[in-house]
Amino acid sequence: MVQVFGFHLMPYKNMPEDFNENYNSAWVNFSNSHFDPETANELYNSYLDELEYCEKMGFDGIGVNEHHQTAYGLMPSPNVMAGTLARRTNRAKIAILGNAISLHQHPQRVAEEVAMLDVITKGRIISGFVRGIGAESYSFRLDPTKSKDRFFEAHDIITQAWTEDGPSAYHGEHYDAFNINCWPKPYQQPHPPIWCPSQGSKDTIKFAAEKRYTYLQTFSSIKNVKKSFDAYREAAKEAGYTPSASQLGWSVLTYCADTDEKAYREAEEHAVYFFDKLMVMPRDFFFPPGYVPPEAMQQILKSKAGLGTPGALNFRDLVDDGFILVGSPDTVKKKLKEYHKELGFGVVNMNVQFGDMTHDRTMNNIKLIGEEIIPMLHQLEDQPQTV
Amino acid sequence: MTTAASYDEKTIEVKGINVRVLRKGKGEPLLWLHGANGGGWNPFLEELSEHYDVIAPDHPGFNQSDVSKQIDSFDDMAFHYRDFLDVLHLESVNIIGSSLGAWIGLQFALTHQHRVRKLVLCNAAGINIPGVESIDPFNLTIHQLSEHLFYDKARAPEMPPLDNMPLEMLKNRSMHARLMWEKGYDPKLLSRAEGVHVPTLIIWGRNDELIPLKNGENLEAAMPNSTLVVFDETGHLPYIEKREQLIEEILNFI
Repeated sequence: MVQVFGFHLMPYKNMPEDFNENYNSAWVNFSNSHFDPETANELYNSYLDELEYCEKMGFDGIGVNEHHQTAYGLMPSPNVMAGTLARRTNRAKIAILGNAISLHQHPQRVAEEVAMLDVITKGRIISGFVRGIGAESYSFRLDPTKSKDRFFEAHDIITQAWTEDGPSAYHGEHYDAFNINCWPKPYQQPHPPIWCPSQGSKDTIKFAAEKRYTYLQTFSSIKNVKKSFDAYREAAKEAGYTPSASQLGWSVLTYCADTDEKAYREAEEHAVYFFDKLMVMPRDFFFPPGYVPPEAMQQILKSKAGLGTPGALNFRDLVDDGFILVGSPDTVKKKLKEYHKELGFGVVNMNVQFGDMTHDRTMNNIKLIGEEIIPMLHQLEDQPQTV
Repeated sequence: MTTAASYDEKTIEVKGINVRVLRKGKGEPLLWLHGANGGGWNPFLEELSEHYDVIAPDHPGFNQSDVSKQIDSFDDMAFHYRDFLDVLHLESVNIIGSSLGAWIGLQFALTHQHRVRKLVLCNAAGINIPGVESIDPFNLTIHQLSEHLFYDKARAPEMPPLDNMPLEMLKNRSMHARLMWEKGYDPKLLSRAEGVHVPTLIIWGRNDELIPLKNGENLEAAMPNSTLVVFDETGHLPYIEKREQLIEEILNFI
């Protein structure tokens, strides 16, 4: 079966009319003078309603994530969001996708908060770990050349905090800790499932495969999803095992409406807002110095041409390439079956709201996915290895 | 006139780090410590080599020297240059540094002043004066930064956008970040510099938009054996914008 998650970025709506004329970024230096707490109060509450509705409509889980100092997403702390959902839901998994652990001075704090959530929800937490994107190296002024090393060390501290009886110690290059002694411990033993969201980082894929963590490919063409999944299977093979389908997750913007025509028209409106406003930032913010080594940087810059530039991404191309899943329930089901056959994912993480999608449209999207698509995905059989 | 090709180019190993060193000339040894814009030979060094034994290494992580996990601070750079001089069997040298390189030179003098004959610091990085505004180099594209470096904007070279950046430039940018991203200055530097008695020539472009002249004035006030010379109509890189004038000052000083 394929597990289905409903995911949210909680974007700020009401971006200024003249945004594209007068601003070159929705990140780092897009002034919070544009933030209106009344607007945000409504947004937070309708967004949380949407995630709660996902549980009601049969999604296996709901997901939140972490971004900083940006209109792109209003969740600097995904754990706060997970906290509000913890007591308003009672069945769905809550996937934190993820805590940006390289950005934290004290990884133990992440270990503690996720453990709290896991105990409160009686083990419904999925704990994703990410590095934080390039822009966040600017927002928090953390050395981008060390973010990957910090990620691995922070991961080690957190898992040590969850799995070893304390007090224990950890002495790394970036973190030096005595008295690691996590109260509470997680509810799930040895610890909540760890997921690694990424856009195809070779290091992340290898790391996830070796640790047997679920790898979640985010915002990519089907071609690149396939490439990453194959790399994961290959790395798992080298580590001496065959991964289960549940270790391969695919994260995709998803929009369903009654007809294809309506779905395409409405999705495009909101996707354009997403790509041409919320994702806008100078190339330098995406790729701060040393965030990846120079040789890899040159390759990545080529493969991500246009990213962050208004007008550079074309909606139809994105749909055709599989970045966005859109259509009537029948069309979406058909596409999902094909992609599933090709990719062999065991998890699909649907971004059920994106850009300035209205609450009504989002709720209808969730309803259609729940009623028409999830039952089909639950019945899909795991695909044989496709490497 | 000698050609630029006639310098000697070697790669030497310093504690496991392969370092490219360019060298030319006879006379007193003179160690050039380049800025964040990177190493390599240039007309300024070419002229100096008519008077001195000019030694121009790429700092670890820059241009054609290795990146090392061991080096991520100005302390590390200073200790690297101790080891570097040992490998070259040089007990002491004159040092000229520009910007980031001047900070390395000053940092080296803090702990190894017995190995510094004379010190020339051009528009040194590393100093912060509360209340004095300076530009954040990491909030600018390389092209924007380049424009801020020159008094005469016509001299600012056209720099490529990130997407077309040559490998060495990406590498330099990365190492610059590794050294200065989290802290662009050392708040203790001026007070520590008070104990450096090496004869020091401080050069500052009056129109430096990156690091204001006030920093140079405070550095002169802190260092007991220093003289500040200010170049008019000059930005952050006197060795490019006022090459002749700078060489004259150096010849008089060393």
